[in-house]
Amino acid sequence: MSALLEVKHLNVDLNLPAGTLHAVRDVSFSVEKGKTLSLVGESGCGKSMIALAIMGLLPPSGICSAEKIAFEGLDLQKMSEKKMSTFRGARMAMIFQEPMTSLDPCYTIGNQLVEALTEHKKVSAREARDRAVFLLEKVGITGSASRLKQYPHQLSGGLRQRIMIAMGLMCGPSLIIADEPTTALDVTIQAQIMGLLASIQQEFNMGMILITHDLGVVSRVADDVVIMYCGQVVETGNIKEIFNNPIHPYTRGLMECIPVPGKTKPGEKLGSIPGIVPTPIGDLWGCSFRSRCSLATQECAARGLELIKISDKRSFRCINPPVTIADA
Amino acid sequence: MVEYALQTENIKKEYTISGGIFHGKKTLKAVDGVNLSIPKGSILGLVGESGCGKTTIAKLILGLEKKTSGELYIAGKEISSMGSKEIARIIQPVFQDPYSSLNPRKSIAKIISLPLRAQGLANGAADIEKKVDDIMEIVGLAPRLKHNYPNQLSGGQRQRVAVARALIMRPEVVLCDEPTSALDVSVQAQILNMLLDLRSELNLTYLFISHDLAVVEHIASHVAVMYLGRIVEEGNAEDLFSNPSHPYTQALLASVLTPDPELGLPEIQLGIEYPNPIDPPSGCSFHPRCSKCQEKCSIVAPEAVIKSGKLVECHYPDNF
Amino acid sequence: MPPVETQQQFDSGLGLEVVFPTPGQIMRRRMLTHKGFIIGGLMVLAVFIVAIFAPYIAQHDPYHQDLSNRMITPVWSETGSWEHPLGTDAMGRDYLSRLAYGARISLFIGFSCMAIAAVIGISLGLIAGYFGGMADMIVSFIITVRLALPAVLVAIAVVALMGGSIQVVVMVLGCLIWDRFAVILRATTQQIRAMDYVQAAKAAGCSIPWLMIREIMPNLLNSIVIVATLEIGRAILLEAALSFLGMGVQPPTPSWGLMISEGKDMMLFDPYLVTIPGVALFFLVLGMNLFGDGLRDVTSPEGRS
Repeated sequence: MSALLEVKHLNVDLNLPAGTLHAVRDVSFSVEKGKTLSLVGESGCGKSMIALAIMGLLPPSGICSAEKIAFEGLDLQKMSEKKMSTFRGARMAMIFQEPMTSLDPCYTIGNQLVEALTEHKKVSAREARDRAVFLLEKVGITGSASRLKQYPHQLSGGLRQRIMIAMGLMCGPSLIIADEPTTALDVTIQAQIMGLLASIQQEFNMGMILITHDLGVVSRVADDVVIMYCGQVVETGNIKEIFNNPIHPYTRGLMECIPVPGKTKPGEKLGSIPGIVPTPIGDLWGCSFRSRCSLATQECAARGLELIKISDKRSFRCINPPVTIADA
Repeated sequence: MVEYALQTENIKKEYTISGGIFHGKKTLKAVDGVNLSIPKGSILGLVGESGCGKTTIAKLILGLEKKTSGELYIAGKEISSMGSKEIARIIQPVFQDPYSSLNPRKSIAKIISLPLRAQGLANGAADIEKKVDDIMEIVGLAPRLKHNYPNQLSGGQRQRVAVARALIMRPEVVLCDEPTSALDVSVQAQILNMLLDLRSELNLTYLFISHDLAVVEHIASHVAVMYLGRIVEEGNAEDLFSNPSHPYTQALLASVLTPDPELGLPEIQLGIEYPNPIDPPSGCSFHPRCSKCQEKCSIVAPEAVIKSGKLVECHYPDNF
Repeated sequence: MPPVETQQQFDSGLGLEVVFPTPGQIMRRRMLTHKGFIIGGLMVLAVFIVAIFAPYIAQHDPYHQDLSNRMITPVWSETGSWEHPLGTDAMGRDYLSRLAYGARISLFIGFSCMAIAAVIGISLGLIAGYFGGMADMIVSFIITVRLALPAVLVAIAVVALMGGSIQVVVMVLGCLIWDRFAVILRATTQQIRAMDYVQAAKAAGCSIPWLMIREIMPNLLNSIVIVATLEIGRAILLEAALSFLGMGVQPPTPSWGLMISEGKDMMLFDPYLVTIPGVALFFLVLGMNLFGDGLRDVTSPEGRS
């Protein structure tokens, strides 16, 4: 089966006064129908840039180059801006972190939902409204007829995020890109929204790219994970492999940072990654993580460190892995 | 006899909200009769969703808002008999967002030394400088950052500056209002480690407000769970996390997503919306979202009962 | 915001350790690249130089009437001469001298009206924004009342009662044009008061004046400076209007508004009498507004690059 979205050797450069910022460096991954791929990393690692590059929404200073960005068999790079804009929203939906800023405060929920559909497809207002009601029920909002008449500010954060999801689904997309969809929400709502996204994705057999820094969310929802650091993929693989046998020192460091009830002892020191993230500006070589890695050696500064593939999906970028690969 | 750094007795805070011309005025009970006591040297974790009143409690304790009724003792003294400077010497805050908690127009040295200067506690510029150097070393900030401005620092460094400012007067209590939730994972661990180290070094008491239960379980010795202005369950951290009695605590615990790929997403039966605090439900305020709700729950508000060493406000804590 | 200064890291190939500039450095760098700011600043500076060096620029006494040399046209016309580069007026006074001394009047009125307005407006705005509630309601009412008063008419009425002089004009205009200060400061103070750093300062035991002056004010400075430049321009124009109507500065003081007023009878025959002071006014006010606009871009904390 061919993948829903295939990205091969994607690079995104941003031209800044200080030099060229290599926001995304040689990133490849693919998303299949009905599967969730998660891009994980700390702020500034380039994970959001990947989403914007796929959607064709990079800022003007951004330059995107890739060997291949294929969506449903079509090459997105060769597509005209006009065609691309019909794709955005219709075939691919994006859900952002802060639902308040993505909803227009001047229009009712109903207006915005209906417009999301009529903008892309020739349907009557009646049909669009029916679909809006149907989807609101799907995202767990009852009394949808009265909800349609409400304005965004009348709703709580959790409800707004549900509306955003419904809006993303209006045209029946085949790919959802969710950029930190639950970061602004309470824990109880977070679990609900993630559950909702996961069940809807299964029901409509869509592919999902989940961008987040929260390893807890990732472990519960994703099928495959791409761990990013400084614009590069440092480790990728199946969710269970990554969480049970992390190879890259960065992945391992991240996992030791989180307090896990039952595993970490209360009051004890958590693992932490010393130092700060370098900004990938200028000519780069070697492992980006070597300035913070306790296992770094001279060889880590060598040029041309490639991803080492150990199985179909599993690969990592480290020449001195702290575990023997046979264990992994 | 236990000495308490902070004690509240049936403390209440009400706001009057005007509902427009046609609705008249309404009362919002942000904090509705809260009893908390924090022994010296311990860490109390205060947990709840946004809108439950935990930030209001923080403001009452810091003296930024005046309580409507009840008593609030800071180091044994009633707060209304204390001046704002006296409160400030005993209790200092660390806020959530390190980007808005530092004045962008002031240098780091100025920001850290603000409490000293405001209180007139220092003997001249040299003394201030020495104290700033000392505290910067304690929180792990390089001395060269002294003359920088907040926009030149990373999120973790900014939060260290906020902690340094809170500690420069050597207060007894530090009120941490979600101090790590705006930070990246690796930085969050650094700050948590630092807070724990500082507590034992400087013998501090923390009131740690958070919605992240994993973090609270890691750091706190006591935990209070807040819902709609009331504490619904309170007790020793170990007891509360291993054996939660209130259905709300159970739901909160269930919704913590620990990194474990073997587990799926939990079923949270809390309904989709937090109730409007202006118009709280009758009886037990949690009953509309409670999966174990009985008839009595919607009529009578429960009294706090002692259940396996914890205080629980629920009619049927035995059901679980 | 993109990093502007960077520093090579110990061990290249890792990228750069970004060193962000201080707010002061950002401001200086933006000042040097902002066209409107530089052009506006130079225009205002030019008027300042003229005002300061008026005795050297003026070859004649601006008050000296020489009826034998009336209505000499400027040097670029056929009958003009270098003796009076901008000609003379109906009283035979040297126009260039009057224009140079007039710059002093305009700048003095602009800055002193702005200063009075700033004191009133900033205090009201800070009080309303910081305290909210009742204080806010009262201040908002005062602002509304002020906005309902037509500035020129009130000024005319007061000057008519008290007689026209520079002092009266400054007092009246200063007390009339504080509204923009109050409105803008009230809104910004409300925003800044809610910031965590103000709460932290409050929790550190800072007194209310300390909070207002040392914590909030530095963050209001850019709004204040911008409004101030706009108000200077407004005061200068209002003064000119009042003087033109004969209700402002009284003759023979060389005010630009008065010069236009005195020249208006001869406007059709000798348009330079009106055009020259008119262009001077336009030049100064345009410069002020360009400068203020530029200042807004230069000092905005988040930057708009």
